[in-house]
Amino acid sequence: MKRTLLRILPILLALSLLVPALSGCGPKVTNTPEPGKEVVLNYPTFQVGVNSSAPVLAEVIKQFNAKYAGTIKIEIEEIPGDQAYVDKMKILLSANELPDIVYAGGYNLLDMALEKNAVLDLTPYLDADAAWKASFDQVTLDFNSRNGKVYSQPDEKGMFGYFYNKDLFAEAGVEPATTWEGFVTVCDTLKAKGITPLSMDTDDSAWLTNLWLSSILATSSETGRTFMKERNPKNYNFPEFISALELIQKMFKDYTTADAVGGKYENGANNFINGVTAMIANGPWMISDFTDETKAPAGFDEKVGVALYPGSGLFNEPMLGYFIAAKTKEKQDAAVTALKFFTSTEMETMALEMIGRIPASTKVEVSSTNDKVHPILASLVNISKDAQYNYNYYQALWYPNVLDAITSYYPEFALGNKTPTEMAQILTETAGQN
Amino acid sequence: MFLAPTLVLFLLIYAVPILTVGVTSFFDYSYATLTFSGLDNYRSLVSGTLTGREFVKAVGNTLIWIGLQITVHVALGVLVALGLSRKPFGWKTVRTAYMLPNIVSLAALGIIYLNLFDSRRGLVNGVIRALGNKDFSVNWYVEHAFLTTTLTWTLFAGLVTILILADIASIPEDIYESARIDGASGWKIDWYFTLPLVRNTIGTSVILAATSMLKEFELIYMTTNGGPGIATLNLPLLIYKKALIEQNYGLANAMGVVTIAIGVLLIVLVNRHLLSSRFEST
Repeated sequence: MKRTLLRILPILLALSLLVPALSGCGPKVTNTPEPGKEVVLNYPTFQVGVNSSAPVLAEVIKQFNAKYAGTIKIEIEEIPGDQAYVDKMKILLSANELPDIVYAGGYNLLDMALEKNAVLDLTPYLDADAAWKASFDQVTLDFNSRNGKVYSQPDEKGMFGYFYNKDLFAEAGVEPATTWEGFVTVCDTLKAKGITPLSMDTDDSAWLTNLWLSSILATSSETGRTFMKERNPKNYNFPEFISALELIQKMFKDYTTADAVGGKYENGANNFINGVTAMIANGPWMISDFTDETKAPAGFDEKVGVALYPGSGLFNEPMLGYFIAAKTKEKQDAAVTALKFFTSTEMETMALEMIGRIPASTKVEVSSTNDKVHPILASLVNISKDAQYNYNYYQALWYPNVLDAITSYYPEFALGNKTPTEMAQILTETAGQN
Repeated sequence: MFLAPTLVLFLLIYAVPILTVGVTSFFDYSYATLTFSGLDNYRSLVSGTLTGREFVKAVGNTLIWIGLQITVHVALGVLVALGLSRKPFGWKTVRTAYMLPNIVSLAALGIIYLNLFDSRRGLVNGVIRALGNKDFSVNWYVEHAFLTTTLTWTLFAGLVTILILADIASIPEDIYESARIDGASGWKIDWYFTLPLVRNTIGTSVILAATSMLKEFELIYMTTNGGPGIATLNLPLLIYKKALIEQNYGLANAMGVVTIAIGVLLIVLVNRHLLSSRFEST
């Protein structure tokens, strides 16, 4: 036995050395479903549980599976938590095992998957279906294209300003500021009245805080605007970024709650909903929370106003959408059918009405449906016409390790233990590791 | 022959992945590339770059936490076990309560600690404010991150206590009777009889405590994520960040090799100094 083991051992060890080499160049899956058999599509998602999009997705999948019963079925794999979802997609990408449909909205998974040649080119499908192609404007198509080929399609658009508590503003006698100097004055006036001006956070890439940072940058100068359009920027060490950080540091020091430092998004959201803070930067998906009496006091939505960022800025850019990583022709065709369904006028209208999601489709008239359902959303769409600068948000643009570094270093920065220049240097160094 | 199934399982489940980690640590290995890069990954661990600084801090923190765990944590567990072995009133309740943190999911425990130490609504600040210091407000996981993180595991030595208690229960009563006849009592019995007799279990506890710190991840990830800055970064968290956030699997695996080396070294040292007597005596 001992001799046999000694013979087997080198073979096992040699095989183990081949594992990494083989894993990077595994053969494509070639299993083909039998003709006439139901095609099952695997779709992992974080839009489950308490996620605000969960009820919409559940309804979309229910309707799709009913409509295509017997031919195509989408099987949902629930992955609660955005970060857990992104981590899992990266692992599956490494193993060349991405699911049939991948949602890339808000997370730059598309470019990574493209580097590994794992994404289906949607251009021929769009060219073959003029009505589907016409439902997207050229800006959205361009944003979801690389080298002239369309690789993903979204069912929503990112449009968000900031919300403010009209009662608290009235109490302090202020209006939403139109310049950043005016914004500081508004914050000082609120503070003088004993009102904490801002909801901020540092955890989970500091979403609430970095929406302010992105807006300061995008309304500052042409350099700032160019930076906010750059995909995976490597240099954060420039004057506009540093002065934006200076204001953010002041906001941490003077205008927010003690639990913002080291705090999660939920702290900031609760503080705004409970009237502890007067302003919060966030997207329209939060509107449904304002009317949900399990989360907010009754009638709270009537106290909420929405405004453009000082300097006339608004997050208003297309988003990355769903891409297809299915490996067989049957599954690819079925996945395209699913994408057409997800991005259909009916489904996007339903999402708009259910949770106030801004549709990507040009066929959905936002103003005609939302003013009765969500007055705050109607107001946002109205003011969006006045925005001088439209830009994308940082989370979809910056390297994942830069977002992680922000989470780690912001608390020190917020407490004044790191200067804006040091913070900019750390982010530059972190981006350089990619 | 008897060991063959275990050996095959070990080779497939542990040896192959460990070898893979070792081999790929010499590669520039990401989701899209696999290129031999020699010692580059190891060089970057000791370079003056951000990666080098993070690695040095992570190794330092890991070693400090291992040191605290094998001394303070194990000593505390042993002391509680010695106290409970005298079976004072309510000892079973205390034993169960002390064990609780060991049976709660670590992710849930992380959320509990995060809320306990929350600066505005947390119980810790609330109690201090209720005791009279009305303006007290400390952001524990930011201002005292290392200490607060350390406290989340160092004080809860329930597993050590259970192991030592079980070993104490197996000591024949006549040994204690002889000791008492010879005039020993109280702490002298503990010091000269009980502790030497449970030495091997203490050794096992030290190994468990040390290795637990080599794989501690959830509590840090859920509370500080290694911050503020890199103040609470340890090796498992850094490996996670390099592998899953930066997709630099080669670099992460080089760190993994160092972690394995530290683990093996610790086990050898503990075996030599705390567990050797049993083998020598048998």
